[in-house]
Amino acid sequence: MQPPPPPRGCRMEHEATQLEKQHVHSVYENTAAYFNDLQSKAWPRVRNFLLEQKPGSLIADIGCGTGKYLSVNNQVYNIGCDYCGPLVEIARKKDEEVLVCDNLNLPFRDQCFNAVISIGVIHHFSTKQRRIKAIKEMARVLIPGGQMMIYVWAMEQKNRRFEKQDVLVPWNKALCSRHFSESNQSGDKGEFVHAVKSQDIHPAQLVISDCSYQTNLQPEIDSKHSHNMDHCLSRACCMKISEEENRFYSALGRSFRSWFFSTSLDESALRKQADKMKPPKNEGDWANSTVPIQHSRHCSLDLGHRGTLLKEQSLDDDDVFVESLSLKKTQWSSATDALRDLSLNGGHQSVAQSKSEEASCINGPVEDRDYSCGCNKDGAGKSNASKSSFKRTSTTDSTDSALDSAVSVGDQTDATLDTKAFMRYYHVFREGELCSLVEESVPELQILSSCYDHGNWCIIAEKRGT
Amino acid sequence: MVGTSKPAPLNHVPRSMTSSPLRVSSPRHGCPVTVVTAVQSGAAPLSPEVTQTGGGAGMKLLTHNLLCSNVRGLRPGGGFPLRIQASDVSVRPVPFNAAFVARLVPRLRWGALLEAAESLGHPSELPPEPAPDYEGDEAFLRRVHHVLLEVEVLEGFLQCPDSGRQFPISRGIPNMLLSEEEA
Repeated sequence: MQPPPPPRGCRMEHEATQLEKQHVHSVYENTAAYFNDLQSKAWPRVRNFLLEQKPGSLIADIGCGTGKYLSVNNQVYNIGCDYCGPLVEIARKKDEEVLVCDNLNLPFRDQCFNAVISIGVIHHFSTKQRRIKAIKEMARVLIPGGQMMIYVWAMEQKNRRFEKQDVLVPWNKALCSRHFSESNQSGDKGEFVHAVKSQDIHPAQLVISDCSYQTNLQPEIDSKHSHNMDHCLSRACCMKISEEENRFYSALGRSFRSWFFSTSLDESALRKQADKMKPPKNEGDWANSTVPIQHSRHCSLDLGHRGTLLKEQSLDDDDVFVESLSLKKTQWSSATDALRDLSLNGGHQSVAQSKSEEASCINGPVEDRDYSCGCNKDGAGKSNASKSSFKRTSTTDSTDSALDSAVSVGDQTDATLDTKAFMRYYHVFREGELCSLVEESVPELQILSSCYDHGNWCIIAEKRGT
Repeated sequence: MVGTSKPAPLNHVPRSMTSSPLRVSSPRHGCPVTVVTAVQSGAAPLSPEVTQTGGGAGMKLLTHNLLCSNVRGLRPGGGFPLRIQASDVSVRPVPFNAAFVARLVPRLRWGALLEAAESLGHPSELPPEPAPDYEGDEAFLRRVHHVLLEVEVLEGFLQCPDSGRQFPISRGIPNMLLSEEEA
């Protein structure tokens, strides 16, 4: 029989690590070979931050990936670390000083670095507590007066809209094959090609991963704007698809928005879920509960600068922790069918019309059990689109159960990997959220500046003390 | 527990290093010898394999000086310094920058640096403490430069002094990840 479940706090921590293992670490490990630094230049602000450090400084890049920032300033000593071994191997081959470790448990002594950077990393932590811990660890290894720069993906984007803060974003290979062919590869090229050949990609499965165009931390994929972060999907690569398919998927990718799976793994959310599943000790508990039972459009728990945790939950959240969560295969297939219809009927024209910022057409098929695929009703201009099996689902009805989506994607690990639709987990930050997080929970840091840069919230903070 | 080693003959010593006899150091607390060799009385001390060009980059001793064990439940300070058990060490020249090195000196845990250098068979010929006027002493700075930046560990282990936990170094990359139970 089943052992008793671990205490709630441990269970949440375990869930968080599992989610990150599946939808951060595993994805980076599997896609590391496709990262190519030639395509990803250093972000100017990050470069400047590094170049401003005094000669002889010790600088840590926590979450360095393939190490593109480690060679910006050769007057300082740079150490990079990352959880992902394959990425670190790539950096090592470029002669960077790197190691494998966990942001949450840095293997450095206290107060040893003059500066620390964290570029596109914190948003991969699935709970607020873990995000705080990551920042605190970085603060610990900073000398007093030392500075930290943090970049996280912003919820507020110019050309797309995240409806929720916690998202799973598919990795779009098609968008990368273009870049791949343009790039000068190093000796790793052989590996890439080999890896590609060994994959057997079903066209239908392609559709899911490709039309969920994501990430660029900039509005569109454009080879001119090549300063993307490593996690940008356009980095990834190299699939052998026909030129025609390539063009189609690229068009599709630009038009479609990302799949959204939303929930927050935040402890309060989970507690509320768990509480709801247990019979109340007495009726009064519910009556006195601080959780207003109402549908929330966003169901996000972090309201950043508003400073309060909004504990609104949708009633549908009850089954977040139901054990028999399973991604209904039918939902995926109906999504692919729908999208394929769209494409085969030349629907990309109508898709192109849905470029509007308004609610993205694609709310992931697993967001709501009963739901196949969302469609921007504005995009129904062409008959083909209106005939598709898309139907609009309002977020107020949607089951805010990305956890089960996430978990269920996990249940289908094999299927997911087969489809090459690697899903990366992100918690996108609202304006002010990162600042509030630091102000409220990391008092050892003082925020010097914050800004919005190419779809990211960026802060520079200084370690207090003399 | 000392990691397994392959005893290897001493290879060519880099020209920047004066020839001095290799010594196997005995760590202070009477723990097992950290150098990955078996030393028998009367036998010539063996060193980790030292290659001139190395097989790529490895962990530098400057990095090692910043590293500590992150195992849970250690005594305060019990995780530093990590004991190096190297089976493959390489030496590669790095351009010398006196000002750069001078700035690093005050950041270092000096004793740990000396110990690490010795354990790799690269006794640093450095004084027990930096002299007050070290900034102007080029010979001194060059020696510091050598041990900090030119000696690299390609393969081996870093051992937590308190818990004994060993962190592997493979292809020049230390892996400091803990298991879920250890963290």
